[in-house]
Amino acid sequence: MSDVAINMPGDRSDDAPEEILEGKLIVTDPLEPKTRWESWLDSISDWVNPILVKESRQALKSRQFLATFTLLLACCWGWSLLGVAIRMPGIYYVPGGRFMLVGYFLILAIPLLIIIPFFAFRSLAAERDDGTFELLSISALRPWQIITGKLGSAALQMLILLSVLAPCMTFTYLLRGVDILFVVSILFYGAVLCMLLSCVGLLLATLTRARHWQVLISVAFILALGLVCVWVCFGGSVFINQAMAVIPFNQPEYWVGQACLLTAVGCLASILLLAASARISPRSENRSTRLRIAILVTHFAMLAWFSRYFFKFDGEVGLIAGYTFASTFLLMVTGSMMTGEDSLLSARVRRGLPKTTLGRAFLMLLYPGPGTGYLFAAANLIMIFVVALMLAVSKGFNGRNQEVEVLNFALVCASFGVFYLGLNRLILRLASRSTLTGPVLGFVSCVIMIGFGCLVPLTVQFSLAKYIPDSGDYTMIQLPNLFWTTVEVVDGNNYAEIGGLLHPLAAVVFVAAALVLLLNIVLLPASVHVRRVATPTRVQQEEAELNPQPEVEPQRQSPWD
Amino acid sequence: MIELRRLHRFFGSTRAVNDISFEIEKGQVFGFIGPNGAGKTTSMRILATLDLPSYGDAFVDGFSAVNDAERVKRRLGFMPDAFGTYPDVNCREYLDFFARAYGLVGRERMKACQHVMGFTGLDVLATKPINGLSKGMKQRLCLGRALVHDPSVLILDEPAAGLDPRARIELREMIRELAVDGKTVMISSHILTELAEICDCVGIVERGELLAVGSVAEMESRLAKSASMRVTVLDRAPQVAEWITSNNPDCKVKVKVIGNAIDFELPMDQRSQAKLLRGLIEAGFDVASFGVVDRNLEEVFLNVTKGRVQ
Ligand SMILES: Nc1ncnc2c1ncn2[C@@H]1O[C@H](COP(=O)(O)OP(=O)(O)OP(=O)(O)O)[C@@H](O)[C@H]1O
Ligand SMILES: [Mg+2]
Repeated sequence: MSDVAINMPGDRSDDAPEEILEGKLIVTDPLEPKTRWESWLDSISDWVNPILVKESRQALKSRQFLATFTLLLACCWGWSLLGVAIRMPGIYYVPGGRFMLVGYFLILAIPLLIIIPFFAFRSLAAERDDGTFELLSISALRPWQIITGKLGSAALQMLILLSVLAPCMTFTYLLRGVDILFVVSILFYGAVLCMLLSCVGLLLATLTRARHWQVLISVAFILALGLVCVWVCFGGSVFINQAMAVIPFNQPEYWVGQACLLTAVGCLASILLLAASARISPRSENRSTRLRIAILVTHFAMLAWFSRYFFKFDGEVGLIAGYTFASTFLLMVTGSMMTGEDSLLSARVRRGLPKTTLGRAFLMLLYPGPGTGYLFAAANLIMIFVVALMLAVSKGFNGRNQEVEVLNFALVCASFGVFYLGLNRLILRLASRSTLTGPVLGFVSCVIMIGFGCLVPLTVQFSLAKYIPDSGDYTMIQLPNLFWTTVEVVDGNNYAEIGGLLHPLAAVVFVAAALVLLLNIVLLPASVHVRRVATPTRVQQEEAELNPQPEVEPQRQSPWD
Repeated sequence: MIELRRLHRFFGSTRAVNDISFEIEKGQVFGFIGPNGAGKTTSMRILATLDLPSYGDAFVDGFSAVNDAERVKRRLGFMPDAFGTYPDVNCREYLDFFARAYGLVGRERMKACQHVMGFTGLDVLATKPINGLSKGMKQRLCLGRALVHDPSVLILDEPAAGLDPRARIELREMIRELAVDGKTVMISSHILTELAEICDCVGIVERGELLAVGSVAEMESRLAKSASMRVTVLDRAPQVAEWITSNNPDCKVKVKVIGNAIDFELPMDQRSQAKLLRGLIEAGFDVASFGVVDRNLEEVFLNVTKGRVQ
């Protein structure tokens, strides 16, 4: 690259891409594709996310990336030589692949699990720090494209780093003792984990713009990544040494299991990415609907996989409990954020509301706003219980103790969810006069509320310990304590009291939840009943210009026309 | 075409923009003038869809910047007062990236990049890393970036800040060229004399309020209570000054003699000007020139604003 900026006649540097023809300065474009290969590449790049194109160009020139790349290469070669040297005399007749593989695995873990996710985080956070983010957001790039572009460039860097290791991995195969499928699986799951952590990094980068929080988050994130890395390195090396022989690659059920795992990863990643892109969208945009659809899809995916295994393992009730736990957790976390949404709908969002009453009745739950958000979460939570009930019945419910327990567990989980989210919504509604709103606030207030719900009864009970006999036991004071009450419902044996089916505590929590839900529904119309606004005529005009109605050809009246 | 309709933007108790409304016709160059903290940047950011108003709306080509942000973005080039760059990127790649970001593909993209590089005179710097550019060159690059998707409306926030006189003149030429092309341009600046030459229309804001808006000539005549006159004579300048004071007892003018020129003020009234000139000639003075001195916009600005800061 030329460092000479302006080439005056007389001090032209030789590599400057220009020629002087007849006294006229002709500038040849340095990025103009010259060969056929280059022009092919250029036309391909038109289909690629612009951010990906820019960042790959940047990465090729950046020292940071070059350093990582060289270091990784050096480590691989170093380990190859060292490993062979350690195993030297035996390497010709004892399979040494596994030993070498552990080393490569550890070398790969640091770039994949720390460096790349952290770069993804920094690269988005830096856009916001450096003021380039504003330039991006006034371009035609959608927030979703910005996020996926960042993820794409993380993926590209990851692929390049992985490609460094490919020859080494082949080497371990030549040393015998490892299955090629096993090596591929390790690389694949390393890559998947790397991408998942990068998604987390991207979401974290959008959380705040305040400098001090940004620093705090980056420190916390890198520590967390370090922990994950240590954990994976430790677990992974044990796994490589112990488990390789027992992985049933030849059984179809193994691959079904992989599909289940990948569904979970895919759902989680899409929620993280959608949340990140919602966070960088302008406030006037609809930032909820896509996320709610993703959450709904995730819930259904859980439902599908848990029911598949439920039927496969012949009605194992533990799977119902697993489904209940996982989906309640998902909905409590996402639901608390939904209850924190902004209750003012912009004209733009209202313009997109369904036109018909029927459409509104069905799609209302997907539309932005804390009221609909709460109902969405509540509907999903109710569904959890209904599904649990249906699963139990479908296998011929016969009132076995385990079944009763699991159904009570589902009821209590769903009820607590509906109760606490509803309470959160009511509290935030009172606080909505202040300017503070937002999903993070919703989440934090829900956590605080549940924390209080647990800690206050515990403190009360233990400070009254003198007056209560058996103060270590569950008492009615603990009712708001989500965890203890749930444990009590599952472990307790008071079923005989109400026909042997419904635990009284579950019944109480259910009633409380029903009341909160009702209160919310009563208060709902004020927040949900927003009028749809008409699309401005100027927009309609342009729509009509851009997509002209196909002209109706005059139909021929008779064959003789 | 740009319209601000009852635009408000509050930051806590600061009223950065407080009920500003005006319209800019297609192909006009509008100067947005105000002291520091007047709310220029804030209004421009709202127009550029980077911020949302507390009340009111801003329109570009009839589309609301609040509710139809993506339609506005397609038509609008915004040059912020401070802008970020990427490390390890050269000018050409920078423009190429933004061309892609605006959805330009293939030859169209190449052409757009080449066109703006030619227009802003960046073509000789194409492969220079951005970090090594001077302030003026960066301003050009930013203007190029704002132009790469051929927007019909341009919003330039203090584009001339930090430029040397030659670069300023070049910038002025560029803006004039853009206006000839039919683009609507909105420029904010403190350098008022500069705006006077290229703007069809100016608006003066202070503390978030629009104090005056109109064409440059209109503003001058509206705001000028009296005309500054200058007479140049061949000799006897002090006597001329004396004569003017003694013959115009009604205007308490400060007559100033600078060499052979005499500056003084008269009511904005052509009849009295004509009368004075006749009197001077009849009195036997050798008048070489006689006329109204252009009041510059700077004076208008100082007149209108009170120097209040928030
Ligand atoms: N993000 C913000 N938070 C709080 N106050 C703000 C913010 N942005 C602007 N302000 C306030 O709004 C007022 C107007 O600021 P603005 O930047 O629009 O002024 P300006 O006319 O562009 O000034 P200058 O000529 O100095 O660029 C200022 O008082 C400023 O302090
Ligand atoms: Mg400003």
